[in-house]
Amino acid sequence: MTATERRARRLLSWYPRSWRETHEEEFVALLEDSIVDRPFWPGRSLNIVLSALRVRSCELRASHRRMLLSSSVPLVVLVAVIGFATNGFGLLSLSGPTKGGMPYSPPRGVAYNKLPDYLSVYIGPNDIGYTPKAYVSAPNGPDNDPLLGRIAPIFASNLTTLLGHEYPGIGFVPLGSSPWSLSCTTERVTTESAGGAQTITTIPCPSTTLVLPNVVGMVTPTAVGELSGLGVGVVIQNVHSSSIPVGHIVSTSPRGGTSVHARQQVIVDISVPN
Amino acid sequence: MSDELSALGRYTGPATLVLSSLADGPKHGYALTKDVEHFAGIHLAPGTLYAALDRLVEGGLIEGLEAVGRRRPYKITALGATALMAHLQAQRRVTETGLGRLAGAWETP
Repeated sequence: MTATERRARRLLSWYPRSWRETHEEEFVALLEDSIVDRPFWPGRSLNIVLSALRVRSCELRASHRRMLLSSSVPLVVLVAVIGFATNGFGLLSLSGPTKGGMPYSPPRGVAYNKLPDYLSVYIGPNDIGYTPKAYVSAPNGPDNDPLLGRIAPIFASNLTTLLGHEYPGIGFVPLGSSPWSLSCTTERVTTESAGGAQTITTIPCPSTTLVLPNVVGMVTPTAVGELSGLGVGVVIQNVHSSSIPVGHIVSTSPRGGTSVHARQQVIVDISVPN
Repeated sequence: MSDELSALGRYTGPATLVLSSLADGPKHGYALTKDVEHFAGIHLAPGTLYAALDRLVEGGLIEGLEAVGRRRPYKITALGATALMAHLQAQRRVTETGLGRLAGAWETP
């Protein structure tokens, strides 16, 4: 890549991704020609930055309108929680409308630059009732926020809405960041026999291993409910799949049929829209 | 004035230049800016050019053709030609009135 092309591509990156997808090559070509033609043109970069920001703000406004039409109550709660937890309902930042590498349009008033890029959805083994509950946490926001990492309950029946549709950044999980500890303490039980002798029995973690069921192809709440019911920690990841319909399970790691530790973390890949 | 070009607000000027340039045949971005520079003496900055192109495409006044190499030529549509004509004729009335009144009251340099 020539220095001119690098410079052109750097300027291009001010535009939102969707714009770049349709205009990238022709715009880079134009910029290269323009830079070669008039190397010193101080207004050019500023003009590009301002134009790019205008495109971004139009896009934000448009998607905000879409969002208002399709938003669901839990989502509003979720976004409000995230907005608050990550410190601030401030001005929209100038950085791009993507989260977790996917286009994302925050509602008006949410400090976009304060939103974490990645959200994790955890289904805790102890939180399964009639309606399985999932928890959403924000693992990688600013460190100094006391609310960060707090978890907000989201009902699993809303997971398919949350995953990929309304907040596409959700579910990209930095591995090993689960708030649930995988450690399991053994329990010592003392029993007294009739003769007065004491027997100390060590009870290991309950059912240390189990065979993971195959949930590939199942709809998300069912699969997550089934896995969580077994006691394993479920971590959800968004993936794109050409064969598995949106909202269904693409794969798990470890795979179904594998023998796993009862409290092991199982990564569940859910199909989300492209 | 209520033609489609005037409705573009701050982009009316650049859009008029772009349409005028495309009126004699398709051009890609760089050829367009050079052409505008030549006939109007105005340097269209890349950001402004693409903002105008986006709006014109959106309004159906121009259309993007198949890219040639990396460069995509744009072509004026029938709708674009009509809009340009309407806009320029309205402009001409302003131009002629202004020039006529200037000629009557002020000495031309």
